[in-house]
Amino acid sequence: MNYREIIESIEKDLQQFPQKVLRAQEVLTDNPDCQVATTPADVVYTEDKMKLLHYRSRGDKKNIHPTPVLIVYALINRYIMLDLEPGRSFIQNLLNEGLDVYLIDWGYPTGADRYLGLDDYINYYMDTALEWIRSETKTKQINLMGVCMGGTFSVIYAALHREKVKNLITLATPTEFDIDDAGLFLWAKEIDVDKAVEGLGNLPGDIANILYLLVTPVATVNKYIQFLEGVENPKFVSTFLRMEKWIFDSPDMAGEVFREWIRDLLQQNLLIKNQLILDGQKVDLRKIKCPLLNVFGKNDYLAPPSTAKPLSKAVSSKDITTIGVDTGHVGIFVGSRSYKTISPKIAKWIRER
Amino acid sequence: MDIGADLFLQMIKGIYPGDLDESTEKYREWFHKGVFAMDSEIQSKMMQRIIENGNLYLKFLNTVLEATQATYAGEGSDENLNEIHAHMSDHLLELYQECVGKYLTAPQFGIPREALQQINSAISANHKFMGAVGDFLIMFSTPFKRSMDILQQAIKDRERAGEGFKSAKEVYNFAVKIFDKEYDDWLKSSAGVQSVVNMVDNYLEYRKKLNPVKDIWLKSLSIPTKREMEDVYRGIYDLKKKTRKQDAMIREQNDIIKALNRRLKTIERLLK
Repeated sequence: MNYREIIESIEKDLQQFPQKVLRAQEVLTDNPDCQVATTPADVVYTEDKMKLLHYRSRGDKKNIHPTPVLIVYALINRYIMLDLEPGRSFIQNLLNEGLDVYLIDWGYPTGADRYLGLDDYINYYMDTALEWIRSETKTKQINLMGVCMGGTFSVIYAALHREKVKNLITLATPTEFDIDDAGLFLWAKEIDVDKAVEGLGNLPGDIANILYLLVTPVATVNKYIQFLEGVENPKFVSTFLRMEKWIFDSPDMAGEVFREWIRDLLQQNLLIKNQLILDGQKVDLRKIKCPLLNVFGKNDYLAPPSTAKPLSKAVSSKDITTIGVDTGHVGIFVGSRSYKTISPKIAKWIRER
Repeated sequence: MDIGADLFLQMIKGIYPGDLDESTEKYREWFHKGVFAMDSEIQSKMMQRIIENGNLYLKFLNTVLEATQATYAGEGSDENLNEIHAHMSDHLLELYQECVGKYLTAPQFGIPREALQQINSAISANHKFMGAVGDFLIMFSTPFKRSMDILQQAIKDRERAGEGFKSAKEVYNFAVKIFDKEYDDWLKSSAGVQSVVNMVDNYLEYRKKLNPVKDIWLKSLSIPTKREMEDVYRGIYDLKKKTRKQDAMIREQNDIIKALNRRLKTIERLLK
């Protein structure tokens, strides 16, 4: 194709654009299936906004691994991404692998939760959930699996309560914050977080979302153009809408935890320096001695390898497995190839320990 | 109509220098008959007042224009903008008092001075935020232009090398990669970071200034303000935290008691 032919071809595509938009409108108003988080689960414990979910195990109970897994998701967006749709569910995969899965649903914080800080989330809510599982399943130690910010919470928890954690699994988890290859980290360093909390109270999910979308403006626009291209494929439309549902289902973040997250972790990088203090206790990563599985996406723009990898060197564990997956931040869980391979790997890793 | 007539009477009282405490019916009648029924002296006084008020309005409008110009032209230092907005606030207050406040003889009608200043301060912060959004959008277009230049050059290079594109889709995908890289680089560059942070910072400043305005509004409706609610939430949070600590202590004591009881029973068994 020469230059002129390219222009003609683009013109032709542009002429078809309004028809594609109209067709997309038809498809979207036809009530397409976009239910998320459909894997059966029981709410076994609640405390304020926090809910502890227990996923119903599959198959013979005798074959279920005796040590439960507690998944701790981030405070940003919701856990539904881990259970996006049947056939593309990280949680279903773990259940199929014979794991006993629990998950913390943080809920939607309101003004009443404005003062909840890292200490409350980690030393109270997480600990309460963990204690409940330990007492119900009569297990001394459990497998702790953290996703993104939830991974950071899990790392902190494991450092403070090491007697309760058998294995630590971190997925797309930031721990080293002094990096220069993640837009959000660079922006966060310059933000006056006290002014933010004073002005906003809780961090509105919509504002956080706008900033997330702004990190990859081209991908954000491109995704909708791709949607127009794939609008005739019902499976593609369903997955696309489920992802959109996840992206725009953004709870607010409690003001105080937002302040601490930005100030203590992103701006001062206290965690990796072993200088973070929670409720008078120093968080020393060197005290983590349990086996560690550290999984990160090689193309992750939110928690790039430079923020995730250093954890493997910061802990004192002798049994450390670090896996870089050829995917992005959410690709680990929903990527068409990686989600099928990574959960069996995690399950195998857990079973072997 | 009667409300209009009363308001008209108040206006006349404000304009007419003499004593007008006569029967209000006369003025009601005037109002109903129309302004042309008034004598020429009152008409001329009213016209003079209208011109005076018009001047005040122009003064106010000038400060608005001055502020807008300074904000959008990027000339507004904090000090400069604060000064302009202080003038704007004064002119608006003067205009309000001359045109509305004095005729209604109801000082509480409208907005108290303190609230007016806070509203103006929030408006000013909003202008600055919009200015920052404008600045951001201008800066945001720089990677776009650079990407277009790179794309055109790349297409020409490929054409020259005989490696032309097979379809418009291939061109599109090629373009997406270039745009993605350019935007990623820019958003991580110091100019990009400053641009985003400046916009966010101005938004936060605006929200900070908006809170007292909302509080005034809520207070006037006898609804607890944001600050009052935050105090309540703080109290509840502290109380919960205290209760949790006490619960933990009680559990600890219970465990100690249980352990002691067990030991006691063992000792008793041994003694028997």
